Amino acid sequence: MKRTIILSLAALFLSVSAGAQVFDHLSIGLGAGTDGLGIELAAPLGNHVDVRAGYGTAVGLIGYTLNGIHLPEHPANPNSSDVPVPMKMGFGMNDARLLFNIYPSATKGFHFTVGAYMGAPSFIRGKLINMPSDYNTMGIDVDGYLVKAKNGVLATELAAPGLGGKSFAVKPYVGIGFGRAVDRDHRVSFCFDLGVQYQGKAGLWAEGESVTGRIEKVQLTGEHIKEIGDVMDEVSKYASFWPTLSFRLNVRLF
Amino acid sequence: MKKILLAATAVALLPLLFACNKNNGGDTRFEDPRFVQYAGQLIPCSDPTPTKTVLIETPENTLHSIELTESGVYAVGTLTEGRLSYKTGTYSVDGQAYNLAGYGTLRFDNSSTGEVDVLIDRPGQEAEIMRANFNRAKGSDQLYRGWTVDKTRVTIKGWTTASADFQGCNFYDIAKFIRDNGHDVPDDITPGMALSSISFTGTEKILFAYTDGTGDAGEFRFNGSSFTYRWDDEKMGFTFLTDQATVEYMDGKCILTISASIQDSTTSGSVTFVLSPMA
Repeated sequence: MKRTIILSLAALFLSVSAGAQVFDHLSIGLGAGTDGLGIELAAPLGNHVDVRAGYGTAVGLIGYTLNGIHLPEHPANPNSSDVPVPMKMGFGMNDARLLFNIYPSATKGFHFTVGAYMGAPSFIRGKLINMPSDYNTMGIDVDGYLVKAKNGVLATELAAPGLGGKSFAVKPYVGIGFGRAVDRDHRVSFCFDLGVQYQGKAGLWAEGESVTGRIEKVQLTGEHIKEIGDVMDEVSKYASFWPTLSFRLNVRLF
Repeated sequence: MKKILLAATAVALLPLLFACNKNNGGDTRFEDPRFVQYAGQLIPCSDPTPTKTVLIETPENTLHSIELTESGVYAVGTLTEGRLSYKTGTYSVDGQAYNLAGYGTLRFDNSSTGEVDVLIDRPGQEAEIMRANFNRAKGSDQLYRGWTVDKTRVTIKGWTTASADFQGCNFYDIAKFIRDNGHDVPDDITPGMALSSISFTGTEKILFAYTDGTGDAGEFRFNGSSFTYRWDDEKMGFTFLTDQATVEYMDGKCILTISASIQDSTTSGSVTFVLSPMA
């Protein structure tokens, strides 16, 4: 989180040395879309480029229940029968964004956008509910970490690193849009953007506890529970690219 | 002015970029145990010397050995009708006198390895002298000490690889857990078999001391991160534990993992002890 804030401000700072008509204006924007609820600062880099830096989150928004996952009722028993365990899902993104609007026209609002979303790799949170009672006391061993349920609920997240890593994702973005992030003629402006983030290969992650009590996020795969591997293979086909549709209201500060 | 303010803010917040410092556990080192210079093993000589020596032997039992560990845990091995058993407890040292709580006092020259005359003074009994070989412990590794068990993690391969954590270590509860999950473990483990400590000595002895004052002892061979061990008596130990084990140090603890398997079964797994050092 700290790194995302710094990187956002660093982007604004770098534009100090970009030349004329830099930081002559600054606007603040509030947005909503498939990239979550966000807040941004934007400043012009000349007449054809605006830099946008901000932060967005969508944790808990939109709910969907995924059925079809079965888990063994007694995970340590080789002869255990399996039981259906639904997964309640919702958006889970929580990241900063550094984006550049490139306007072919010095006066019109149509633009191309390039940049990146950076921060937590998760994009969907999933809760496996009605877990069998065995999972409250024992758990699945994932590389020496114990993944257990709490009161019958196992919290997981679908996460993808983009070009980053396990704990900090960097998801490149390209798109098009309408409206200027910093409108020199009007105090208030409205923007619409449509694009796609590259997420890379998605995986299902959960918190596990080592023998010494250390908590780490570990990846659940088909090696641990076959059906999770089957579900993730399907998800991975569609989750490498995240469609991003957003609307934003900007207010020019100066 | 606006540019200067923005630049100053960015620079001021730069240290936060490097403030995230993940603690990876570091390099664990323990202080030497308090009895490292007194630890060793006493084995009664098979042929007594002709001067003032009496074997500690009755028709019912024979003294087999006395283990004196680096952390002040002792184990007295006794052969009874061919069956070896151990009594365990704690001891303290005053010069050349070893006070074994619940057993008695031993006095002998502990300055070096060799044959010694041991004066054994037990409550309610006449003091006796025993000729014995004293093997002084060579303290060359921080593993050689007593350890208390904070937690035990049992991992078994069932429908998936599953684990359960237990506070301390009670082998009866562990065997019951394995059995309740569909694996065939013999039910000859009594409820009292809870570990009070595990000791490794510089005489290459491994000692399990139980809360009921009994124990299991054996020999081990250690190569720095893994070891094999063999109980002194084949009836000792637990059928689901193999003789293969690994040792690592993490987060101020010793992590001892013994491979587990069930005879005549495909069941496999491990038992991991999270150990804290005894002084």
